Amino acid sequence: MSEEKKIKPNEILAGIDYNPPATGWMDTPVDFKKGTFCNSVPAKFMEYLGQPQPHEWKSYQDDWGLPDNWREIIFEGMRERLKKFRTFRVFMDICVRCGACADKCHFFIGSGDPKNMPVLRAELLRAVYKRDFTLAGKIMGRFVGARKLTVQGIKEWFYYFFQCTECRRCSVFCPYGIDTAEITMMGRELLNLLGLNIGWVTEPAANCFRTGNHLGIEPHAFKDSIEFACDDVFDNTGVKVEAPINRKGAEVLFVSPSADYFGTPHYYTLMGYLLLFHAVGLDYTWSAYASEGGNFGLFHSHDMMKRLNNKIYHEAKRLKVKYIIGGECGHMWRVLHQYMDTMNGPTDFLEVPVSHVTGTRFDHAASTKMIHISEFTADLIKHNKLKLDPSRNNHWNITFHDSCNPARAMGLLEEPRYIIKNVCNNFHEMPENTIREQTFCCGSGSGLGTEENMEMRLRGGLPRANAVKYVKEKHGVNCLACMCAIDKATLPPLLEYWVPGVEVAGVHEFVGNALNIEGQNERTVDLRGEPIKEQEEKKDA
Amino acid sequence: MLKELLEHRQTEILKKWFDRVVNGYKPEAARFLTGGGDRFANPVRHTLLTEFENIFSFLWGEGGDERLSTALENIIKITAVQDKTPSKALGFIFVLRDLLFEEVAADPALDAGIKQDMLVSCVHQTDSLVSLGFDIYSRCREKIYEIRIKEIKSQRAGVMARGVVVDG
Ligand code: SF4
Ligand code: SF4
Repeated sequence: MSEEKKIKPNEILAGIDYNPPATGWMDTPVDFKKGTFCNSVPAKFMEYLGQPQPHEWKSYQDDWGLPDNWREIIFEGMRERLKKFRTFRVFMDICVRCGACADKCHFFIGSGDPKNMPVLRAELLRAVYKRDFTLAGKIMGRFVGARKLTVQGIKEWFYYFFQCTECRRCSVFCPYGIDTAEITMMGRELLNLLGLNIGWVTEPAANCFRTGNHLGIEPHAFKDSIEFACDDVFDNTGVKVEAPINRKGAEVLFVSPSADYFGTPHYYTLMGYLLLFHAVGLDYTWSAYASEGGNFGLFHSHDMMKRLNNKIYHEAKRLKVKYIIGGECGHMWRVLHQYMDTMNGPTDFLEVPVSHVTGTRFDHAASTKMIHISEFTADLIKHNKLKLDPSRNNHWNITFHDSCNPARAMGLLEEPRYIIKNVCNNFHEMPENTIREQTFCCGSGSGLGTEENMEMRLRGGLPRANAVKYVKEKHGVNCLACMCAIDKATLPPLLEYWVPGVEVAGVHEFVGNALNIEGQNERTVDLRGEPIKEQEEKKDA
Repeated sequence: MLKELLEHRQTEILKKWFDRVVNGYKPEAARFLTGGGDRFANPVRHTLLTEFENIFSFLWGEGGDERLSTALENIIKITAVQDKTPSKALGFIFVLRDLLFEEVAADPALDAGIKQDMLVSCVHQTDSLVSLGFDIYSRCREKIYEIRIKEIKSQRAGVMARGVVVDG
């Protein structure tokens, strides 16, 4: 080691690397450090879904067991997709590297890893595209940002495409509307061709394909879960609700994420739906087969998304309903809003949704025939059709997290706020640049919400948690409301680390608490079974 | 006397402290951290700037251990999840110590004996930061494991409570 390059003992002790690697991104290899990536997929789930190249491998081991012709497979896959998806080709071509997206990704903000800048994440694919699919790249190579695809490059794709939550925050700031989430989706599709994916995307997809929901819950267990929730509603409110399943000829098919009937705090939201439907006498049914609103196929590939989504329309047809209402799910709404109609439509066997209570016709859903429950509820409140006592939520001081997909993919910004303001007395917004279209992701979406990936999740969730901390300190907020099953699962650990003392709840949990319903008991406990007065005193103290 | 000397040079020391710590990040991140964005768009920058100032004033001023701990915790919570070894996660304290040494050493008005005392005092103060810091760092890491275990348990509990058999 030459004299100048020697690190001074002080610097070692200081732990500060004053000279971080000066290598450019192309030459900085990826380091699989435990805690920052998701487990690789076991072959059995790939086999179940009939995916190519199923094999056992571990991302932190050297040999990933790639087939000999891996490069041809990838190039063929790229060629096919460049032809099939116009957006992919356009996004590969038009980035001017203006940098407007660079500091907008929560993973970059929280980690400082340059390859988490959306522009560089996309560049991982674009550099290969340039070298092998454009003339300039073929001739001028690195000079125009072209790069040869190597096994190291494949590992980098895996690391960084499964470190993007497909949240689309970056696309809001891109002057060309480049959607890095779509590039990530392409990257993941290509990796699939080599048998490379993560367990937490592929296993739920396989379960969903088998039983209709991500957990592999079979119809009898699904029925038990829903009935269990009806019993809990009765215990807490004194109201006896019905929850019809697979009932042919109902007006509405209701589809919610499966986490609503097995996860906490999702379960309280489910109780809220049940009370609401009872209160307005909705003629509806659940389906034991379309028992999942979520669609992990979206995080896998276009084909898988289509396959898993298909059951919703299929069940709507079989059960002869008129239209569909969907529950508090996040990515379900991206699938619905952007792909469902073209993938699995047309839905000429359904009708444009019309609320049986208010007569409102939801024309924006004229094509998909599916509305979000918050649209249904907000409309009921607007027409004064619900008897509400917001004081039953006085123990909550609420702020609202716009889940990426309902907010950015669907524009569902006002309805949840309108509902919360009508069913609760204490509501405070987080700062403007952290909500609505600019909302910060939970850091765990698109299949990344695994415990083994916790450090990465905590980094990615820092900007979100930071804004929650601010309203907690400023206004005493003690509850983060949201409308997404992944959020409800992943925000609690995030807050436990960054902002202890703030709970997570779904919007319809508050609706359920506030609803006054004929035959109800004294309503001294909330849907969580907690005594309201005691909780309120605790909050005020 | 040390207190006065450092208070007098506070702005310069804080600036150098921030710059040196930020330069330990990769160049793109360093540019981002020295760049703009309010406390919500650039939370790490905001935390470092605010808490460095707090640590500096609590170290010799009022405050006491509790406020010092909170300030340290707000930084270490971040560094504890940022791919850093424990020594790197606490590196910002050693940077401060070096800076304090430099300040004392560079003051031409002080005689050698006083300088010696001041340096010893700097070591003591930063040592106490280091020991507080290590406790906080371990707590953060423990918390991460606790959260991971809790997540595994709650997923299982939710499923089992409702009698659901899950089989891939
Ligand atoms: S989609 Fe979200 S996670 Fe992915 S690069 Fe853009 S901001 Fe980051
Ligand atoms: S904002 Fe758009 S054009 Fe600019 S660097 Fe990012 S992706 Fe490229």
